[in-house]
Amino acid sequence: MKKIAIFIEKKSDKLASVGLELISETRRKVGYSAYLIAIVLGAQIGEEEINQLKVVGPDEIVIAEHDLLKVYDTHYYTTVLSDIVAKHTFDVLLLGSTILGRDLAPRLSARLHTGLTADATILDFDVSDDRISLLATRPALGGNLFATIICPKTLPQMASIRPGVFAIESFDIENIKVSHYPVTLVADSKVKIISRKKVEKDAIELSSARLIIAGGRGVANQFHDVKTIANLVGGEAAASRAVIDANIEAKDRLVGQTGANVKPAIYLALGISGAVQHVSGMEKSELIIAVNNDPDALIFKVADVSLVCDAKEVMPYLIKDLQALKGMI
Amino acid sequence: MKIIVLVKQVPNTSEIKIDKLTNTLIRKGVESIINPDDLAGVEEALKLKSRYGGTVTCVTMGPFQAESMIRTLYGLGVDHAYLISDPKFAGSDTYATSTILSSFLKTLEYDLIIAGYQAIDGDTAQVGPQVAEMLELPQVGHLHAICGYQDGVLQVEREDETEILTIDVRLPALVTTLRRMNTPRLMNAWDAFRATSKPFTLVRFGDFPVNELKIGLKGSPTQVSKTYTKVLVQKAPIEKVDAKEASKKILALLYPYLGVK
Repeated sequence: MKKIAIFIEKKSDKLASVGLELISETRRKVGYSAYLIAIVLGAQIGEEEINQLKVVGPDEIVIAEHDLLKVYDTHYYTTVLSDIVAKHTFDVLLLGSTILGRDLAPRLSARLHTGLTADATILDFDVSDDRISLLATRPALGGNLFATIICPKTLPQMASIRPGVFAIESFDIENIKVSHYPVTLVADSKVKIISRKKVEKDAIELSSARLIIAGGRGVANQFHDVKTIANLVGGEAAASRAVIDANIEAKDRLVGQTGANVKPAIYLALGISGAVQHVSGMEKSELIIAVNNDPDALIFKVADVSLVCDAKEVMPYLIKDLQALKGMI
Repeated sequence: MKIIVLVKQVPNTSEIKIDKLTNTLIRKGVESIINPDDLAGVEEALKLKSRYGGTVTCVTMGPFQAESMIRTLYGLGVDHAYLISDPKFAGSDTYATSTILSSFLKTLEYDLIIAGYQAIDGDTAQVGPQVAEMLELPQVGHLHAICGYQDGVLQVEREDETEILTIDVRLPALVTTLRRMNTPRLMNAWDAFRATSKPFTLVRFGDFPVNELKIGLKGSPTQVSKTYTKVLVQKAPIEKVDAKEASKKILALLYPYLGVK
């Protein structure tokens, strides 16, 4: 059976969710026509982490433990992963395009003399008897163009995939194999970590947010619901002028001519009428969903999905639905 | 310190728009700029030179029009520039590009190679680490700052999603820089004047040893199987719905994005 390997990043004693997302998405796409191997590196991999991996869809979990793998070092991680690849024959190797993944994946692809697609957002697999072909699609030219990339001549076919694109799902798979890869490393890195400090990421980065939940005059008195929804979906809350002027939110949440210009994957406009100065800041969003009880609201002129309904009433349902969904994943 | 900076000329992607009727890119009138992460690398190199002495050399690969970028680099104070340009190199993916760059870099002397983290026209962030691997150099990527240099060791700050790490790296090494780490200087009058006539070195296929089978479109391990412009969702008619139904519709659209956190 053809093998697909997925690198699982462990950072700050937690598994990065993108690894779990990749296992689930690959399982959904290939079904049981390929053998899925999760590879996790670290100083120590606990029972809890193994169990966390087991439910999301792999056939096998390979664990590589060594003290030198505690904190990411390009040299050690590349060495161990390329050793593991040399032992198996992987048809496909996937990594999350986190900052670590984007450092490791290209280095590894050069060591393995194979092709790598960076920062893909769509994965497809062509499965035949003698080959699995990876078709990785990524945005290019600042998101103006999409390109589907293949790697027809070399193995493993590699791709790094953007975090947060795919849903984590639980699968019932029996007899998942857990194996320990014997790591041999010499402390010969030319790179030495002197100190580490946590970065406080309080600053709102509306312009780079992928999901924006925005509220306007229609929900101004219930703006906490807007924030709850943003939190639940892992996005950012934003506001139109009316909300900022009423001192309900700080100006750094403002979208529009005098605020931020945004182009998220989804812009959910709740109770926003759609004045020109607001629209100019968000019309480049990939998908605009507008909820407003006035069928003539200007926002519907730019919305891709237009729902005539009182946004104040929609929010509690949405919160409840999201919470239920979160409980499942 | 002998410093080499890898630089790329790119279209200013923030100016690119889509013709919504034909679903194609409007390229007309889009200016070419120095890739911002690379320009930050040039600035860091010039700062290191003024503190510790040495030379700053830029290496770029691309069509002849990149000469205009070289004039700007000279105007900023870069000592010398190489333009690698040959029809045989066209169509190279990042792996083939890294093969060409690293093969050429083997003919130069250096203590430090600086590459921009990623280029705005590709966003792959692959060439830096691939060149480092092909030259068997240690790499430290995604820099927040270059702090200083002493006894063959460069101290840098690397930034990731949650931390800033202070790191010592023994040279020779390759580091990648981010546009937000500095504000590039402006050209000074003398350098700008001198830049107009200062020669650069054009490097063609055959000027340095490189495996012909590993370069260009044919030597690239990855291929573009198809491209398409953004799928524009058909605008739905304005529908009147009740709150419960609205929530379900919104949820279905949000669903693909909910694996996070």
